[in-house]
Amino acid sequence: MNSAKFITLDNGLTILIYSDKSKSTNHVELITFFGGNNTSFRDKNDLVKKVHKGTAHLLEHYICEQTDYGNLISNLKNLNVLSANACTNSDATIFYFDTVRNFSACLRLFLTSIFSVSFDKDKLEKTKVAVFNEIRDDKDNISREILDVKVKNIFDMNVNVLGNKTSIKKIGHRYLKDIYENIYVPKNQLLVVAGNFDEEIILKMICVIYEKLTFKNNKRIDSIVEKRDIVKKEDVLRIDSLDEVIMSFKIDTRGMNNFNKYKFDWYLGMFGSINFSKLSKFNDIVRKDKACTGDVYCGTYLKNGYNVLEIMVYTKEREKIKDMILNIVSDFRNNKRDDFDLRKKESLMRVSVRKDSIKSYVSPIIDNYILFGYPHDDTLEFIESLNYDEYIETISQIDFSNYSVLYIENNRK
Amino acid sequence: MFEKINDPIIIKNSNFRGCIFALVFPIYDYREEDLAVLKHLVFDKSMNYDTDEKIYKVNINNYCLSYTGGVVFLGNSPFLEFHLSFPSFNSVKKDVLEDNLYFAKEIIYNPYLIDGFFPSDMVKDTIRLIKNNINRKFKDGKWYYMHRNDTLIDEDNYLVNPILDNINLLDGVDEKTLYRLYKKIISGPPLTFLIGNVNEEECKKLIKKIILDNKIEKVVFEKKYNHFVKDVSSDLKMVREVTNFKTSFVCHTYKVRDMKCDRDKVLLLIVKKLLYSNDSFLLFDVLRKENNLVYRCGVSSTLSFGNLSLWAMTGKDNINSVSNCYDVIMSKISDINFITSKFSLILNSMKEKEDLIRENIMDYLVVRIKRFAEFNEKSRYEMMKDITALEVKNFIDNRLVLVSKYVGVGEEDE
Repeated sequence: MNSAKFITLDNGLTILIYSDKSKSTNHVELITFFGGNNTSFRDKNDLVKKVHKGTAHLLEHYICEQTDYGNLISNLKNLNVLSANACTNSDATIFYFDTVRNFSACLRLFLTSIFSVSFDKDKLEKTKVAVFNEIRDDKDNISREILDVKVKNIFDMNVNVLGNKTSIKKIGHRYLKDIYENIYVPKNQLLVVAGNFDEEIILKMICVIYEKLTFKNNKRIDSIVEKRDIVKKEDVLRIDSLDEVIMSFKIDTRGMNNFNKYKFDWYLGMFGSINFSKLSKFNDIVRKDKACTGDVYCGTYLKNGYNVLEIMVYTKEREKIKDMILNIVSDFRNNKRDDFDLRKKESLMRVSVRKDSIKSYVSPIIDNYILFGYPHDDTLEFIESLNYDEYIETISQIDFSNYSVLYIENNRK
Repeated sequence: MFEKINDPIIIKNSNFRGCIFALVFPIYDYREEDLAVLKHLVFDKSMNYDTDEKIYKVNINNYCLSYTGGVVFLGNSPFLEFHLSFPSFNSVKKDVLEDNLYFAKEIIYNPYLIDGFFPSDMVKDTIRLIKNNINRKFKDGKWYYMHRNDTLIDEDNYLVNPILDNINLLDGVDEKTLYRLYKKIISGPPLTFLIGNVNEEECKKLIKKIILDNKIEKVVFEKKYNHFVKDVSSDLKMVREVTNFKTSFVCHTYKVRDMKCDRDKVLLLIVKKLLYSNDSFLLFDVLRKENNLVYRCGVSSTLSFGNLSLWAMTGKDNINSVSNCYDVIMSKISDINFITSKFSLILNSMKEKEDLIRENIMDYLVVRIKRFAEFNEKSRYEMMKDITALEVKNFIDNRLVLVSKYVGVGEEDE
């Protein structure tokens, strides 16, 4: 059966390619490893240069709107794509499109446009206006309120992706061009191409496009350096919302190799599910407690090279819930083998149906590469290899003392 | 009136690795506040699976990928729907339909009760969470502005659930009223559907035996799929309010005069796509590309109602400019040459979209359920094929009436 594979070109570009002729849609992403949290870069002379807040996002807008062929998104839409857009997060900038028709033409336009951008003062000032509008609109986005405080308490490197008006105003066209020429380079990118096409033909086309491009600098950007310790142990946020306890454990895996980081993430996910999910004994206790409302929520994510295990409970009983969570994490050796086996069985089941959709198959592979540097699919063989003894051993290595607690306090009281 | 027997509908499709079983009950007499709570409570636990842990274990053993359900509306007709997904035999080399059907039967027909009703604490918790979510929504700029506009143009509470502006209605909901409503709903015959790489005859037999107790009955309900606008007055409603949000909001709403059929819905959809879609991005081009007035803008429309709202978020100094641009835009889309240039693109995209539905198992199931429920007699593409550019122009010129202008004035300009 066909599987996605990683290919690295001579120029250092990594391509994730997957051909599935049973589907009609084609999906392409160009991911550049430059996001809101990248506060510096090295130029071709290895000089470290500062990056103003909001630069990655402004550059994303500029590239979309001001390629030498015109507006990238509009041009793709003129080729009848299903969708096309771009976004910037704290770690990367992503340009993407989905199409059924005109795939080759779209891919050619997409790549040649992104690498054909000239920088001009007037165009930049025009681009900034939309960014200023976006910064203003974002201030009314209520979901950011708790997230921003929570993340600031955990992470030292935590720059607002959009920047602010002051930081954006500082960005000139020559400065932006310098960043573009040093960052939008093959070694600092991942190209994802998945869909109904002939692999050899598309790969050849990509090679031909890149052969015509020259790069003044071709280096992978330095990784974000994040402090190990959480920023703030405890904090209170008073807003118009139910009382809540949000406990976030920041876990250091920097010493692990890529495969072990990948495996660790699996075990951590299972740990969260066994001990803190809706299915856990902890949730049963919370549901029966009159001081709590609703189910426990547990999630894991990666940011700045650290894993985070997060538990949320709607409750006023701060100290009680915090202590319960700490007791549970220290009591992991009592996690049952049966519970572990159930999670493993669930994972096997889910992975077996992933190829029903191109995106559901390719997205985890992209994550594996970007988050862990592990350029492989989640396979049934790998999941079968996970075992309870190794799980206990892995969890025993975690330092659970590095946590931050955010108490949400209802300001209507 | 919908009136059909509830023989199980099996949609065999060997392209998918997963399967979905769905069950739909029409809801007859209800209060909005009861449905608002019920949809969060249903299918949580059962008397035999009275903890989440037990549910998890049985789902894993049954190879259940997921199950969920709640209240859905087709127009003004509410339904209680349940669906459960599992891998096909080819994916896991085991036939798991029967086990999953027994689970579905247990979770639907034997819900977890205390003293014969839904657990009172659970109902109170759910109400508390719903109130919290509604309060939070009012703090979100975009949501607030869209809600205010919907309230302005609404008729008979079709667009806006009355609970949003009066959350105390939820205090009238308790475990007894909820359970009585639920019991009434599930006492009627359901419609059942199964999609995936399955054996049609065997599956039909199993569903009849396990879910329907071998009783095939008529399912009858009034089809209230549309609530077409009646209040289409050219006496413009103008509302301007000052808010504490940073951004301002400008919305012009049109309603369709004499809206009465599916063809009108398709015409309205075409107009929406002329304004803002992958094939025609006139609104975005004028507001952002040409005039740099916005970051976000869009067109919203409820086809079963008959409204078309152009909206944009902007700085307070640009409110009038945005409003003027809307007038320019609406005269541009009335140009027959413009309509003609975009129409074939829109038509091709519609066909493509309908073809692609077959590649997503859930989308495909939903389309088949809607067709069976007589929600869409014909596909939108089939209807669009018969429409001409001139008909679209006449629709815009003669039937779209500007009925309101809503402006929310925020604090910041750029």
